[in-house]
Amino acid sequence: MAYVALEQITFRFSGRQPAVIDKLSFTVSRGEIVGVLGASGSGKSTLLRLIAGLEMPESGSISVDGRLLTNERIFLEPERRGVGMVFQDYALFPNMTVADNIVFGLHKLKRSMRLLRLEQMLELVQMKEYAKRYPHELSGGQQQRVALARALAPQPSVLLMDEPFSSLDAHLKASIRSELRQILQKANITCLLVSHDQADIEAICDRVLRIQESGRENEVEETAVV
Amino acid sequence: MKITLLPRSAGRHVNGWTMTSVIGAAVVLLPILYVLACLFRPPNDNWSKVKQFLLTDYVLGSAKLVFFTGFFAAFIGVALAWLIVGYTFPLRNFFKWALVLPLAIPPYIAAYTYSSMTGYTGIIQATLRNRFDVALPPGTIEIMSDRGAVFVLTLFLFPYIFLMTRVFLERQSALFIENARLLGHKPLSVFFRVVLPLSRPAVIGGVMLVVFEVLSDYGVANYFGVQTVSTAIFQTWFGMYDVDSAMKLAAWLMVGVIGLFMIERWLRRSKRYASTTSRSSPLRPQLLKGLAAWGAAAFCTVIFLLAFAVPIAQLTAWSIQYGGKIWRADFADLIVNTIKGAGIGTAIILVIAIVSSRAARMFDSPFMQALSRLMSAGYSVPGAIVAIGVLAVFIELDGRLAPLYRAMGKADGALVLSLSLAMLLTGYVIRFMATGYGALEAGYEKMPRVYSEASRTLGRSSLFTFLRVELPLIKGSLLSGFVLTFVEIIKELPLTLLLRPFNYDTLSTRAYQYATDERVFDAALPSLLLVMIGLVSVLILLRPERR
Amino acid sequence: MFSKRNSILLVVFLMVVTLLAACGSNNSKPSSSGEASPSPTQTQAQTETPANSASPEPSQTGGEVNIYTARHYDVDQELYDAFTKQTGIKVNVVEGKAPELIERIKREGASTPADLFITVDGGILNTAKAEDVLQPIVSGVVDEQVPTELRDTESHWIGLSTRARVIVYAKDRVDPAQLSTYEDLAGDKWKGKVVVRSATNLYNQSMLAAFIAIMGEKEAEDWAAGIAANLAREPEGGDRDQAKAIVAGVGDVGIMNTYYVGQLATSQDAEEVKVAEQIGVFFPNQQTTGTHINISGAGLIKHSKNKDNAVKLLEFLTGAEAQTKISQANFEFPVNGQAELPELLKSWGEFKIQNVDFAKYGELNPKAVEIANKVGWK
Repeated sequence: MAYVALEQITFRFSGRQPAVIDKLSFTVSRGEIVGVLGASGSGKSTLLRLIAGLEMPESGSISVDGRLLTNERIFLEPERRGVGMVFQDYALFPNMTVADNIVFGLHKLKRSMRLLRLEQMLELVQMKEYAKRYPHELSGGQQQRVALARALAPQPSVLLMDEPFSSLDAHLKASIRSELRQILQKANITCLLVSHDQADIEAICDRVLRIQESGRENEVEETAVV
Repeated sequence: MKITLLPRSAGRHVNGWTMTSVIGAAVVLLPILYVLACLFRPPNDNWSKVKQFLLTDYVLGSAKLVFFTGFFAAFIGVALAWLIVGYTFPLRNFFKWALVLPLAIPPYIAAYTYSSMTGYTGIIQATLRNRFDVALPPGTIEIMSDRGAVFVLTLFLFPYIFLMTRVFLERQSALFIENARLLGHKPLSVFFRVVLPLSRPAVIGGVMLVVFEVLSDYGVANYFGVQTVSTAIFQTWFGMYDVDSAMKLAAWLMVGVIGLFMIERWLRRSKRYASTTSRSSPLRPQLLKGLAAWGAAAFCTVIFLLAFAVPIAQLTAWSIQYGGKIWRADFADLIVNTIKGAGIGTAIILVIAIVSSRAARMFDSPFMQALSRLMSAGYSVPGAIVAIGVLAVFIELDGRLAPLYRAMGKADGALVLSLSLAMLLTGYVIRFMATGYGALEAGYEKMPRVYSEASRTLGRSSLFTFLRVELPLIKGSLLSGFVLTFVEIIKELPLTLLLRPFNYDTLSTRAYQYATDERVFDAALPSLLLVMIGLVSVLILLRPERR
Repeated sequence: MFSKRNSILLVVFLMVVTLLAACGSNNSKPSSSGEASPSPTQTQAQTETPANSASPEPSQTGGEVNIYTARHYDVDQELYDAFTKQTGIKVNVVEGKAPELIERIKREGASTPADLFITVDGGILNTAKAEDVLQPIVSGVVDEQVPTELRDTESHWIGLSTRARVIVYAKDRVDPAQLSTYEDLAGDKWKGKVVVRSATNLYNQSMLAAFIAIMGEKEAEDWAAGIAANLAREPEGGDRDQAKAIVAGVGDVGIMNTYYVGQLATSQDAEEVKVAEQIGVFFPNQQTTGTHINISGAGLIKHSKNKDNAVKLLEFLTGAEAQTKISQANFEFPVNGQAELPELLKSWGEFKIQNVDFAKYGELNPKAVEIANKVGWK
């Protein structure tokens, strides 16, 4: 059952440039972790931004859990989509503590619920002792975990991750990869993960979408990952 | 749950942010367009006389001032910036920020200060006569001339070029300069072949700033008796009671300004010096030794003395000697008015600027770009012209609102808006929007977009994101924008003179009034107070550098 | 159409702008009740009330009077304070340049808070009258204290003091016997020896206007051309700077107002006193058309709201006591014959003055400006 559905999405940066994404369609099932693989400039980050609502497609539609996020007539602002995102450099708010970062998206909850959720998230990513720290005091790996917790806290329908490992050292990657997969499965979250590194994707994802170069109708290869 | 069901783009683009930008641009443009429209109005009799006898003189006068000031200010500004950035020598760390201080002294105050100091009864000649029995032949120091005007304007405007070039070189130049040095270039060669071409955009930007300040100047030119288009506008308006001709002059000046803009465009045409690496480490200054070191220090010292220490010392001396006599009860009011006017004006400017720069960032369309350009247009328009335009528009407005006034019980022909502080504030907004906007635009540019995006994907509205995420992150730019705009406004003269409501004197207008009434000594105290306020602001701005 | 949030933003913005306009207009106070309540920024009498009392009612002791003045001398404030002390009427002062003030009064129209317009040039006084912003001053006291020739023909304005525009010369280089008339100054013998301030200054323009009235356009133009040709340097500075230039040797003779001589002589700067000691004063045209004088005066504003108080102030300012003070402190010639002159002015004795209606200074001003531009007197 299609939880996330993209239908004939086309996007270009400005009127005269060739389309970065050309009539792309695919679906993601609930609870799936799907990787998006492609070379730089193939539009994979843009894909995530389209789903999140940070860009507006030229044509096509996107829906999540049956809800229409955008089509020819409609465009839902990012804050209304319930789509969580972990950015490439984590983008933790530098003037807020880890705890403040994590509860940032929980404004709709009652205070008691907020604290409970914070506890849960800190537990999930194992950053309990760092609750009062500031982002600049954390290592790359720790920042990534906080970013993940922050995005997961409001219980988004979909989680998008943009090159989550690009800022990490090689030897960290291996351990973090498996950790990440565990967290995602434990949270039972539908996730779309973008990377240029095949190994990363194969370690975490259930399925891979390969985006070809722009200009032609994107071909999507799906491979199941063991 | 709100869904924007409009044509999607419209829904996104038409919101409070963009509307404010549009309103801001409209406010700025309307008076300017009004003035330009005067080009097409039929001239009156007086205009032909003005054209015949005076116009060429005025235009030449302005042109001379612009050319020479621009040239010398650029020379001093760039040379100093390069010395400070590229080399170490005695007192260099002091001069790094101290050479910006002359910005706190309005040029017209410096004008009358130097004029009195170098005059026959001034301290220089008096000391020479009394102590050393030396009588300078008349005309040795002829400061009340266009040369004198260039001297004063150069000394008190070069910091713009200095600052812009210095900042640019600090950030962008390391790679190129170190390369050149490694390849064996001598210092002068490095300067002419690398530094100068490299800093072209910053220098051009700085020179344009100076040019606009010179065109706008009224106080210096008027005091020294130099005929410029700016003084001509005042003269025609008040000396000849001919507002229409004054507006025509203003319109022609605008044409000149637009021409300058085009020249600047052309100068900058292909040189898009986008820095390839945003993480360049700052340049390591080279150590100067011996004669070169002392030479550099001497150069800086001379400029600093002339552009700051000497005028301040003279003003202080006069204030102490003559200040008590003229302290009136309303001096406190002068200070309050000065700070109030500048404070409110700056606040309005910053609000519009921050909303517009954000809108420009949110919607990076050509339309928004054009809007921000237009909003900053006021900076290049001389204060006197802005004043005329604003006045004309407000009187129109008052005319249109007459029925409303009548309903409110005011006398017929009442002028509510035209006599209010709002008119002066509008003038300030038009003239100095560019300053605030520039600072905030730079601040936004430095703030990575991801923070705003992260906030919104976490469910926070645009407004919340703005208030709680973006504002804290651009605090620094907000502060520098505030200080820069504030100082510009308190120094401003022609616009304030023309548009101020009654019972509204500021330190700048009072100082100028005394000076032009030949009461130079009495002008010292308000001048000193004005400079002090400006100094405090500039020092706040420079605080990070003085650590 | 706008989301609620955005509309609020827009409305708030508009409200702020309107608020500011309203606040601003409170400052200048055109009020329908016809009373002008002073803002704390106006100069107030120091003796009666503390400088920043909030909103005094006009029905307080004595009331008030609002002056728009282009006279910027310290002695003025002393006189206003003395007036308030004597009568209890508060004096609110707005200072500015004369043409600007007239412009404002015109634009304010019937809602103007101004009661009196005080300035230092006869031409400007006439301009104010011509612009229809003045009304006749009806007061027996004033009529007694101010001679008719120093008043407007219809009493729209009255003189407060006069000043002569005289020839000054270097005592060590020029024998006063060489001096005679203004016309002489334009002759060849003074080539390169004359210093005078710019023709853009009102004092010179009024002088030239007077010459046009006396000699006719052609001769006045010849005179101006002569002066321009005789200039030792391009005009720079004010009247006092001309005196300094003479002492410095730039020129030998110059033209300046009499009160500046007094001010130099009593300056706090020792150097300026020395300059005053080295220049002599000569009253030209004593055998012919008389020395040029100009008048400083006050006009009663047409839409004045405090007419009686204004007239009282005028009576005070033209009274012997105030007139003596003006003369002693500022070296101006009083209009009231009863006033006591300072030593310096007494030493100059009586002199013949031009017989020109002050109104001509204003009427012929544009012509004067045109001539000055034409002959290149900068």
